[in-house]
Amino acid sequence: MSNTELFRLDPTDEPTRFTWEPSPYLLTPGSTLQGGAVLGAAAAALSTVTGRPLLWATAQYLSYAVGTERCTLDVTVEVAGHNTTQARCVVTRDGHEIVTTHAALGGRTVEHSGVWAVMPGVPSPDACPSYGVFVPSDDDFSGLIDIRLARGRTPLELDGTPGDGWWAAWFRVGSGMHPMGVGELAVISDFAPMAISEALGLAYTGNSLDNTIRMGHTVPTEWVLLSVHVNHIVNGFGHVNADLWAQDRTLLAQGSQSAVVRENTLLRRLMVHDAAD
Amino acid sequence: MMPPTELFAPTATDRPDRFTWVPSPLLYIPAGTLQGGAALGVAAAAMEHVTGRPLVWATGQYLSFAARGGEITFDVTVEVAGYNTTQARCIVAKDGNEILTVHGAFGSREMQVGGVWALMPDVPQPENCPEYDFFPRGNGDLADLTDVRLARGRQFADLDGTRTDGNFVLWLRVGEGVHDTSVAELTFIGDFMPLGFANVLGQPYTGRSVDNTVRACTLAPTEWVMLSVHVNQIVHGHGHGHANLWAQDGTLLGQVSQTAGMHLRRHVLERGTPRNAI
Repeated sequence: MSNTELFRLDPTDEPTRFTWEPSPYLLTPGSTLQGGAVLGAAAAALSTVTGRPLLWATAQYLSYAVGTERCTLDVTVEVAGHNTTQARCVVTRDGHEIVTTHAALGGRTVEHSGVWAVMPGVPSPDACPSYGVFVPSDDDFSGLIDIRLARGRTPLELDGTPGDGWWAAWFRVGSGMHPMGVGELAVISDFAPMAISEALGLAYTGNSLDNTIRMGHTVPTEWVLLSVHVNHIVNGFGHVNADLWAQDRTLLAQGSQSAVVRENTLLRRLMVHDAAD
Repeated sequence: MMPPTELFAPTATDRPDRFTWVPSPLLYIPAGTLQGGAALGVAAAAMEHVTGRPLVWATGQYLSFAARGGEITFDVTVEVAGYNTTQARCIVAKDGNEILTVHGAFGSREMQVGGVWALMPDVPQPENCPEYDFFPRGNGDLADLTDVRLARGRQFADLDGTRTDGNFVLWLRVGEGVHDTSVAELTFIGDFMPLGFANVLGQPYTGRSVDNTVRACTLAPTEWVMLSVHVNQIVHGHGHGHANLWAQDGTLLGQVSQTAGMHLRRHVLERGTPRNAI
């Protein structure tokens, strides 16, 4: 399924309202809709209504949405200026709010630009091992997304020793070079809490409270490098920052989020399995 | 001088979810508008009060400039309250016009694991750093409240068109002496982050924030707060960056990130208070 199809919204009689039937490939192994995917759909709705590309968006995660039942997206334009629009999108299912996104969209002509983030020197995706946490299935995102570990330890190498907080993985959503969209980047960015296990050296992950994305240049690529820095984990919550890079070293976007730190049962199962073998 | 706790204290009303606040003139930027980080911080304080939980994360969406004078209102809504975490919102308005809306999560959980992976930069102590010469003093605005020292980077007047490595570090002090820090003081200080854009570009730009995101860590007493800025990218006329806030004892107090429109500083100064300010 192409990127475009994954985030295709259906218009309604109201120009600011859309509906969206998520693909099963956007579900987590727990059968809930991945928050990054919802943010991606909201970004598509916001861009359609405002006619402007996304600069920044933050999604506040309120409820889990189980399964692929249709969602409704309602966009409100708060302020529309010469160059920038501030807007919001409320995503509901059966009248219940699951995510609300605040965003700025637009762009300005400014003589100067540049990239100061540094892409880590990691092997190409073909030379990286598969990050074998998710069992491939057509019922969730594991059937859509190929993940290769580029920096950090495999789940079976986690031995309780804290790492340096820097974890990187290549992600491929579908095969072949293709134009990169906000939706795909938001989905990939939402994997950032996986770095928590590398930082702690333990089988932990995070349930996101929010998801913030800041857009760079979108260029075609097959793989996206998600380079995550865990900043800190305190009072049971983890805070992470991530850069998303194309294979040609273009900085596509930056993500950040706070997450409830929890034991990762998938990882734990893998480790127990391995010990039993 | 008013202590930071009083600067950022919302006043309760007869409604438990509504607060008011008359900002000190010292919280306005030289262009005559309320600093967004200050408003975000007071919103966070109101939300902590209503939820009874400490802030984990909050993002403010900046909608309008608030001109000097008048009272600000804060209306808090609790969206979801769980065992450990509350998701809430706060609408910040002046004269009925929304200037900022904040989404945030609040809570605290018992957990054995934790740690800090961010690294505090090795820079001189504030006393050994020169004053950062950017905001002219004596106008009764935030320049008279905040002591800013340049720990890593260049003075604005020394920008010569050459670029740097993306790091820029300031020490900031709001009031004298060691005192308890608050989320509001962090968001106020964190809103100086866009100063890093000019430094990395080597060009006399300033940033107008479209949002402000704060993620709280451990609030420790300190006199000075180090703002360690990392500029990620400037693209489509907007800069994206984040910053860590450190206490003098090396405690990571929190982190901020934001996106800001890039404007030449002389244009901003020429325009003065925006015409559409409320």
